[in-house]
Amino acid sequence: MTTVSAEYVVEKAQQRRKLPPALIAGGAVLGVIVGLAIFAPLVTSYNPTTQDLTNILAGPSAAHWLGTDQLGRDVWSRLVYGARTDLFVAFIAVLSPFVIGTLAGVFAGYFGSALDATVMRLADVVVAFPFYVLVMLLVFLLGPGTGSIIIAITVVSWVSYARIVRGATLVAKNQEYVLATKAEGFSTSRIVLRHIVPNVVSQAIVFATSDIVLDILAIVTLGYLGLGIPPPTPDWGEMMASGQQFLTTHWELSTIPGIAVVLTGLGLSLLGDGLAELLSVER
Amino acid sequence: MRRSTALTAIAGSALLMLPLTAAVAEASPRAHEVRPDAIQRGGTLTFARSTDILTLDPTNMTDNESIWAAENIYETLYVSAPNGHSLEPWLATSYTLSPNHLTWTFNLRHGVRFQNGKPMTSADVKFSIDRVSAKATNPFAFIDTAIANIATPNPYTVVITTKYPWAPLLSDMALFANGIIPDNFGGETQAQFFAHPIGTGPFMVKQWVKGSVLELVKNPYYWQPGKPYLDAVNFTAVPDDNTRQLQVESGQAQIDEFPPFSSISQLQHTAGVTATLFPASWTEFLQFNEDQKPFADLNVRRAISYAVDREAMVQAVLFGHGTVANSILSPALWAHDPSAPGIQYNFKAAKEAMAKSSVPHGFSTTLIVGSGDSTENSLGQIVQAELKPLGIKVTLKEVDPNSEYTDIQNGQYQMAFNYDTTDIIDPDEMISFSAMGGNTGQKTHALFTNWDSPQVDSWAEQAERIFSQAQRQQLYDKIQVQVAEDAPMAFLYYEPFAYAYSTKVHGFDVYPTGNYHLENVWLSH
Repeated sequence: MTTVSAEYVVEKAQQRRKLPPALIAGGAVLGVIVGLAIFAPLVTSYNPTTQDLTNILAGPSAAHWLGTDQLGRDVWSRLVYGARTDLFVAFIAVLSPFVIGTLAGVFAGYFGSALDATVMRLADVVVAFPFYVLVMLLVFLLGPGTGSIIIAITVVSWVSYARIVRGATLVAKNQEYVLATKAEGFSTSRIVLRHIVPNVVSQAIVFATSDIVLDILAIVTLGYLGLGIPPPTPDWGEMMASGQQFLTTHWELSTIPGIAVVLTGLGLSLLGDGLAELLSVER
Repeated sequence: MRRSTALTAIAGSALLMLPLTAAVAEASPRAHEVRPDAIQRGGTLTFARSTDILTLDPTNMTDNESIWAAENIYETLYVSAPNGHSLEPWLATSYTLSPNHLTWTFNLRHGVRFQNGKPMTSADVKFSIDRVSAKATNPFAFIDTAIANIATPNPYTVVITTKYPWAPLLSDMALFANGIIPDNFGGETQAQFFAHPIGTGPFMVKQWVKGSVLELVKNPYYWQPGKPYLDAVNFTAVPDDNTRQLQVESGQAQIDEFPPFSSISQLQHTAGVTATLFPASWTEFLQFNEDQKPFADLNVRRAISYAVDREAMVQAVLFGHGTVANSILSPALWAHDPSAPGIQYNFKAAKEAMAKSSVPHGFSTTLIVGSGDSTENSLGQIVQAELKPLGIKVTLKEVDPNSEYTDIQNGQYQMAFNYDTTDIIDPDEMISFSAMGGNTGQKTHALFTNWDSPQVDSWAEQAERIFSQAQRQQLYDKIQVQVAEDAPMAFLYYEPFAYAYSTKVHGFDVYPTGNYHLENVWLSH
């Protein structure tokens, strides 16, 4: 047993030395963005909501690195605080369906029969509607705001996690290590949570890294459509929408938050690829 | 850009008054300054507007795009003068009013032909005007309710008898809804007729591709000698501001309706493009719903009115292309009082008013803004920031622009942005619509603020029944003072109509009522 353990440790250490390049690149891009978001008060001295109506639509300068918007607010400051808003909401909006979907999937897969049928038919109902149609409808009904966005995305997104995890659970529950725990007489909750979940969750984690890209796009889209986080809270989608009227005069107002969305999406996609490689999950 | 200005007229008072001093003007159609030999004929004008027309039936149109296009297809007996202060004879050449003020006799212009070549007669006028109030549900039925009957003693005389003395009649005759079409739809059914309608205007309908373009061509029988100069006019629907602007710059279109104010100075420096701001009657308000706490409190309304920096709004939203408002009435109307004491920005006074109010430490409230309406979103965020120091926490609620006005009408708001414009040249429409309370039978209840001032109501009703403009002016001055003091809404600014057009376009003019006479427009080739 000791030798096996040592070999395992060595193998793991080698793997760790050879991190997938996509993971490193994605991590770096995202790291910078997350870092700016976390340390927003340190990288800008302006309050993102403070208006200066005497200095509107000013171009980039030493005082305002990216200029000011139509209400004289510092664009750089709104960009980094917008990253804070959007990334935070996206994180919660991916965590919540991740937890709910994983639990629903693992229990449905493990117990099967009536529970499985109920969960999966519920999932079919949700999948019957296009993602944006359902999210926009829910946000509209609940009223624009952070809470509504998270609820709406959760209601729609849990399905993907549930389906992925259910499939993996169906395979896992007949594996020998599970049968062994059953034979040992472990409680059902212990079998599911301690033995099955850790083995099926990696697929959900990898999916989450691509799902969060979709969520960020959804949050920005809702903001662009006026269904997002209410003003004056900075949000990339709202920045793009309000800059649109100045496309011929101040193109940078819409373009800068657009580039931020693209970079964040790119970083997360690379991170997801790298993570899939690392966790050896077939995508 | 937003709601139709004509909607204001639908719900507005039927008491549209006209100063008779202005009404008796006997001018011929406006002569243009350009030497006749300089004018070039022919060509197609492409007029890019934000939305398409909705109907070709003048009695049923309420949106500005339909109205402003229709005014080039159908014509009225009288028209508003270019400065918006008086009326000019058009399809009628003159009128007489009986001493008892009940019988108006109009003499029709000879030689006016419909677009099918048939002459216009008094029967056509009677049919057209009778149609407006034929159904009570017609949007402008109220305009003609005072009319008892219309007689046609001969083909060139129309006698309109009113049920009671009705001074605004001449002004009513200049409203697009009273535009003249052939008697009995020229023998067709209403539906058949409006599929390819005809009027006496300078342009006639070639085809209407719904949602895309209304194509008009020159009326060969037009009564004004030598006009129109253009061969055709295409009203295209181009919703995106940036696209309209690029079309004019590239020559795809010649006129861009409502370029954003942010682009005006850029357009003014673009070679080959003229950007003009035409004086309009557009008055922008921040209004309060008095049925919702705490807006019944005068001090709260005054505090908010004092806290709003109008100059900053004009700079930030209109990019300086507007003026700070001092009165409920637009300067485009003769009754506007330049010295009316509309509340202006004064933060100290705002704090004092707030301290005297029922909520001295502030309160939370909701301000509705149209979703996707960049102007209202900017204004909303400015108000939100400016009321914060007073302890007033404003939540911006974005609502569907189509339901925004319905919400306001139904009193489902606390604070909202709104505006008023006039469709006629008399101040009464704006006063009735935005200042008269529900007790007068005015359905709009002071622009849906639910504000009531028996004093203002009484002055407004007196002003409707007086024929001397000087005496009416005195009453309107009092009204403007009282409304300013009571602040049922904060008057924000007066906004012009912005148009950008190719330098090849000549003779293009927009009146304060919003309409344009395209028979005067020509293109240099």
